[in-house]
Amino acid sequence: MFDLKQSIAEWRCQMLAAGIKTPVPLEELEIHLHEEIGRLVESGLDEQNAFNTAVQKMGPMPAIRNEFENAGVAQRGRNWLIFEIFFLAGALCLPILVGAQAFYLKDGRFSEMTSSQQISSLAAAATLSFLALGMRFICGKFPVVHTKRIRDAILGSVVIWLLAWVALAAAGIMPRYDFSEAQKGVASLWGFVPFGILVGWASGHANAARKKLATTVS
Amino acid sequence: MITKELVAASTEPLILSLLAGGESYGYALTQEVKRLSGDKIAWTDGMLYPVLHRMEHRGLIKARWGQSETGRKRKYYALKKDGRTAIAKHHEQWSLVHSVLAGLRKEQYV
Repeated sequence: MFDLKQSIAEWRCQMLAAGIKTPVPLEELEIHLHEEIGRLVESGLDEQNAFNTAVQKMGPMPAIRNEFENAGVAQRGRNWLIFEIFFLAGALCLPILVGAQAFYLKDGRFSEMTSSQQISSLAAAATLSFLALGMRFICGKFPVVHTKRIRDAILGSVVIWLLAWVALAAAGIMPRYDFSEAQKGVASLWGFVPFGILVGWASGHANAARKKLATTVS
Repeated sequence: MITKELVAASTEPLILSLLAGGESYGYALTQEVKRLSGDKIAWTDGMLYPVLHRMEHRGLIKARWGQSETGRKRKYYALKKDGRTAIAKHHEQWSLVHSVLAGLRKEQYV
């Protein structure tokens, strides 16, 4: 017994395997397939023949993939991969860099740190990275915002909050206390820790939305 | 049937001209071209979308997600200002080609 929904799901898997992995083109192609099947069924074909005809009319998958690559759509997928690599590398390298500064290089504010401040600096950097990576990987469990505009707005608000917090800390909070340079360094690092959650959430959420759109059968 | 090369060359001007009549979506564009050409211009369905995306990246058209009357998602395309300018250029160029061809044909029969 022919199952149209299952056949479309298999077609989608074949498109993914052929390399059409960016969500928008695949979703558009699937919508087109649905429209054509609907028209063919209305004209009298049974679902199986309508599906086969519609898939045939869609054209060869490698050729479609090549055309999308030429159109620069695949480039965005590659850009996203590069972003992910930088995100992971940044999150993993931050504690290493802070640790190297605190314990070995001791430049600037790190030069006067006591051993407990060195450990605190490293702990702050590690916590920030842990929160960013943790949020990045658990975001798939949260409901996904499908609208890119809303996701961009959320990401923009994260950046605004980050800048506002930095300005407030630098101009409003730090001058009130008679911190040594070493204490300012430690306080600054801990001040950035909550943003590990926000940055990890923003990155993870965007990634979860991409994956969800790529694998959902409408 | 029109040759593959001519179909490819005419896709962008045809899309722009169709969108000059108002926003539309991929499937409707393919059906409209088929209807207007008496089935002589048949786009390979899947090939239309890379062209639409390329035109969108170039700023000729813009896209928005909407819904069909049955509730299914649809991506609607509409002309942008640069798209209207591009139509004028396409018409000028295709008219020139047409007039040269027509002139040559006329000369052969005079």
